[in-house]
Amino acid sequence: MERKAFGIDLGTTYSAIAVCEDGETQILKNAEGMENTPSVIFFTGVTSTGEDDLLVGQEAKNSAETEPNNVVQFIKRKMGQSGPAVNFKAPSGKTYTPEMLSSFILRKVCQDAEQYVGEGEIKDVVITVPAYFDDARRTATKQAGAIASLNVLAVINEPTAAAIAYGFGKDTNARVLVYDLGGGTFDVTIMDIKGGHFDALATGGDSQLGGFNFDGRLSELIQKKLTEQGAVLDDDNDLLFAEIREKAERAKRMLTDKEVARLRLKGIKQPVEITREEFEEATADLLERTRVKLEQVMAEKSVTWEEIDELLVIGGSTRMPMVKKMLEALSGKQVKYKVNPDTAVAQGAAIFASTFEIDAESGAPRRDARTADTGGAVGGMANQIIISDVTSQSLGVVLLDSETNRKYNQIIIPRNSKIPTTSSQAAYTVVDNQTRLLVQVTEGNDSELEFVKVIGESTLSIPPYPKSSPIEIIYAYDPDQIVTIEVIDKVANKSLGTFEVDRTSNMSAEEVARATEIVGRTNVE
Amino acid sequence: MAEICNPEDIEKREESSEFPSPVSEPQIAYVYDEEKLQAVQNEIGGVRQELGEVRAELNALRDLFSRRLMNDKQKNELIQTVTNGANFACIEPFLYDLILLMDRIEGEKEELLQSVREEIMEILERRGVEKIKVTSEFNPRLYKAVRVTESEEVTSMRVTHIVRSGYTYAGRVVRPAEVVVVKPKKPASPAES
Repeated sequence: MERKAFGIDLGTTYSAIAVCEDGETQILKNAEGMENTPSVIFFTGVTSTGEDDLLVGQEAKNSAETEPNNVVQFIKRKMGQSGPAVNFKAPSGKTYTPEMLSSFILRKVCQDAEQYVGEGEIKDVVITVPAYFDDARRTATKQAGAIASLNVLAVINEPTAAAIAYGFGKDTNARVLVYDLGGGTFDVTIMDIKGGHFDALATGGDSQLGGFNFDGRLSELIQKKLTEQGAVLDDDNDLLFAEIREKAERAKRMLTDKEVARLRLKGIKQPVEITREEFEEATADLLERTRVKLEQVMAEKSVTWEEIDELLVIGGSTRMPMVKKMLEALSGKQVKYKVNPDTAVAQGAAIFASTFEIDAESGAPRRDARTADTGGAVGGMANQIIISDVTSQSLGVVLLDSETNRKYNQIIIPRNSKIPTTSSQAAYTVVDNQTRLLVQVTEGNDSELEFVKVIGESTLSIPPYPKSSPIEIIYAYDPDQIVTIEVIDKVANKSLGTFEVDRTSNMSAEEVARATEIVGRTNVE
Repeated sequence: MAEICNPEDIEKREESSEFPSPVSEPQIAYVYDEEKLQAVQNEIGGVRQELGEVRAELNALRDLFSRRLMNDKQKNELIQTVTNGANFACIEPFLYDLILLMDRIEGEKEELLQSVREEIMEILERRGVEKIKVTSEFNPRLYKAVRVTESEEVTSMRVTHIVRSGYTYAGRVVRPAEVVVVKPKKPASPAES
């Protein structure tokens, strides 16, 4: 029997699931009839058997105030990290890792979607992640899927998914700039689409910039205007501030079509008028941050605006006219809303998922759609999706500067290198008869060690040679984003050993198995 | 020795392995009958084959018919879902704006405002909007807690009052009722005490 695969957009604030059948994608609604489910978890209490009882989604959001300490939000920002600072201690006393918490969100979206496709039908999924996620965070996302008892076929980048939703099956041949301004994050990616080939050239982003920042500024602007109009804003009046926040969000939408938004607040007779110009002025620096980031990404790969064929905008915040205006002014091209900014990521993931052939028994994909033409057909179009990604972070090694005797970070694989990739760095022994080499692998773009992260290390033995004997450090980055390091003794011309970056922040296979058991016993509603 | 049989018997015996070979000892007197038999057999075979084909066709038609019925049912459900969803998506922002307007005049004592509020509510109700009835038991599907207090006098979480009314449209929540809840006061931990 044929197994259907689904696409999941596991978002910071909202998550969505879609399926692609006969070339048509459909967002599967949740129990509340909505396309997006809040990525919020609320631990309501403990069952008689000692398990945690929890709500996920809108009901969790509605209950959040009753026990703020039992609410988990924005868990995506903690993916790939470990330790007490990122774990959550539930009322039962159990500790949940970010992977386990994300798995509850995955279970909820799948559980709700199964009302449309049949109980137990959702097993095989493709999950999306921001392009700037490093391998630790990708692994964590994959593990979250496994803990939710899902068969994760692939973890792909959100802009790639959006590009698939835009370009798949249309014989597209274009260089696309994907500008993704979501609720909580900003991402920009340059990508070549040729037929079914989706080839990322460069990517960058700002994980602390999104629609929320714009809403916040608009709230501040409303408060300023109210004060100017003589209203006294009592800091303790939570309800008034809640009303301002709510109306700011609506005013932002209103200003998409209108030049002026007029807001009326309970107990305040005079309406507050906000013009689009005022809003744009108040948020100009936020928009500027996106401009700087996108020009930086273009400069890194020496891509000019003339070389960009299409501007693809995704994320609800791209509806703001200022975004369109800025992109059109920069590029001299028209921004056309060719995909639904809110659902394109889940839809693209679903299209990609539909290209996998899955073994009915084992659930193993027979062919990996990322690297091979899959044959068959989707909606009558040739069923080929070949994704080629770039590294989101630079990888380097800690070396000692012989002149200054200071340690520094030497980048070996720069950011935005095509995956798979291999690169090497020449180095020399520090002292005579040195017998051990400490190889520390770093992640980050800076040469200063305080601005980079050591993500793995290994000590290798070397025969005693005179000082400054040559060695070569080789880094290999494979399509599954696993980094293998090999050190060559250039005197004897032989390998001193290889090791993989064993991310200590990721869960071990045993921990994943244990977590799966715990999560499986927990009731999610 | 060859036998002359009823063709049906032959057919039956043909199925069993005991049937002797009809050409083991050919005798001219029976040649005609053998041919006739063969012809009848062929005819029966043909009829059987045709019957099989008709049966297969009938089964295929029955299958197609039930699949079509199922498809129609699913399609109707899908159309209904999509239509409802599209209706909701179109009307929700408008309803929400009206609800915000209702918030502003809710609780106002002035007679005209009260009458306007009642009239707007009647209009909304005629279009399928319902005000959420709030009971003392907190229901996170329909209510949103916006403030929480603690009391030693309650044993379970209760809704004490409504801050803003909630509304549904065609069974979907447009806005949950925003409520204040009171929950049992937790005993102080030894460290706190």
